Amino acid sequence: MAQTQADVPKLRLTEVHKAFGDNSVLRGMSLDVDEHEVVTLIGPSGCGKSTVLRCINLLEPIDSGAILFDGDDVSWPGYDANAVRRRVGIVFQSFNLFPHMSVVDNITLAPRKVLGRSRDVATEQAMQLLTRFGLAEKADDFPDRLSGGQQQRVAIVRALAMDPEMMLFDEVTSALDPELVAEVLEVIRGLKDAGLTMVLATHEMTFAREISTRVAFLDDGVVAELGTPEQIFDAPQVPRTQQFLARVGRAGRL
Amino acid sequence: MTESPGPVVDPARLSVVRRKGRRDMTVATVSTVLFFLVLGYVVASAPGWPAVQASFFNLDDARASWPKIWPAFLLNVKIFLIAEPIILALALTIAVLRGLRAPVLAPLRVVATIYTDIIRGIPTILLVFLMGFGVPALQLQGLTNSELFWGTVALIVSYSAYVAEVFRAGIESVHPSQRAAARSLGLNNGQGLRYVILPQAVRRVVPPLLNDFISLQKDTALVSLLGVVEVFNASTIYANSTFTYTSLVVAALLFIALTVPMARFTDWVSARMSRQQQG
Repeated sequence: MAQTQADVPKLRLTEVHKAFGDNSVLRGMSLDVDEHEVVTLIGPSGCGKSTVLRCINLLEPIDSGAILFDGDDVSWPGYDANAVRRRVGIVFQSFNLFPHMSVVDNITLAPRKVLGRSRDVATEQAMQLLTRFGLAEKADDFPDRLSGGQQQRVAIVRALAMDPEMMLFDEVTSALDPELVAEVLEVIRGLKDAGLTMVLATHEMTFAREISTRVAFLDDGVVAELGTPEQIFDAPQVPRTQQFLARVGRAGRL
Repeated sequence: MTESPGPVVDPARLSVVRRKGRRDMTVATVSTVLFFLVLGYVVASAPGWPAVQASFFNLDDARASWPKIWPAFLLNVKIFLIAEPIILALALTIAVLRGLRAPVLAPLRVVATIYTDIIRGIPTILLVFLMGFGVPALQLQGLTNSELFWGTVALIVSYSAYVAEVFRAGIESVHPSQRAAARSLGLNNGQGLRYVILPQAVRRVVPPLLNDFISLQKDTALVSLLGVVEVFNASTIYANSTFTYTSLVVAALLFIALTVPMARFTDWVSARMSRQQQG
């Protein structure tokens, strides 16, 4: 082994390309995420934020480049995608809870069927997580009975129940009423404090500034600018970043 | 925070709404009664009514034919009860096979597609004839020549193709994001199908499935074409021996007695499921 553990980032994207038909969404995106880091992806609609997260979780195959997880290229065709997904959790914009299952069944399904945990063990762990996020009394409810914020918190718990080494958040507050956004962001803050490695795509600039170790401004399928929140939000160097943040600021979202 | 006050309702509004409700109810009742009175009068005043009543609605004939018709009808019920579970299992298998993407299973996918295409193209009545007379004619060792058996098999073959398409429509109606969520949690394709996709798909197609059940209950009469004495044959035998048609009406009433509760059950299930969706 030439490289020591410290040299290998938790996640490394090298020159990732992804097109849907003729529409090139990722055009050579490169990015490193170290363990315990929180990297936020910001940028205009269609810049590739969601796509890159789906590619990291192998929900979309990439066309060129590599996605390295602990130094292993997991993006190569034929790599055991399920093995990667067991280690990387993802939370979607529209929650995607299973509507025919109670909250606790949503959470325990994968630990039982994929990790082979007994129902008792899985349920106990689910209840611990639900209690931690103030959802214990919702355990037996069906998703439709929950508010959007509660549903999204359950979706986060469902992903956490797999004990992931990394979490991906795909604009998880975009589908929520403004007064429900805070409760979801609070959960993500808690995860950062617990040291979880996270990659977030978000439109919540204030939150991005507060929570990120580093911020990546995505434009036209590449990382146009990368830096600490202070560098990106207070002194952006790239003109496209400056324009984007100015527009967002005018919309009152900064 | 103070205790929130109860709902505020203006009594004047309420009484207007209630009065309108009572008026609507009265109009509906009167018009329904009137409609059936007029219909009854038109039928009963028709010149041929006494003759029709004598041959179609004769209580004595109904009583006399009952011992022949009732046991025969139980045979129809038996055919249905045996065929239906097999149809459900077979159809679900076909629907799942059509959705498989693994390359090694490609031949199964092709067979399932051809099966549904061809079988749905053949009228059930022809399939009953072809299988009921054709398969025994092969004189294969170890196969029964029972018309009842092959008639039932023909119904199973025909309905499986239809019900498979109902299941497939259900599977395709589940949003792709559900599959993505299942996959993202590390569930493999089979697990995602079994625990996430199929439970939602089957729930959605319960009303159309029950509709096909009702249809099958009636189509059990097609087995009569092979000479099996089920309710249709039993009632025509009686009708031909007495030159009356009351026995056929009795058979029809038996089918209605079976299918109407099924139809109400279908509505009840649909209503219950839409309530469940809201919790």
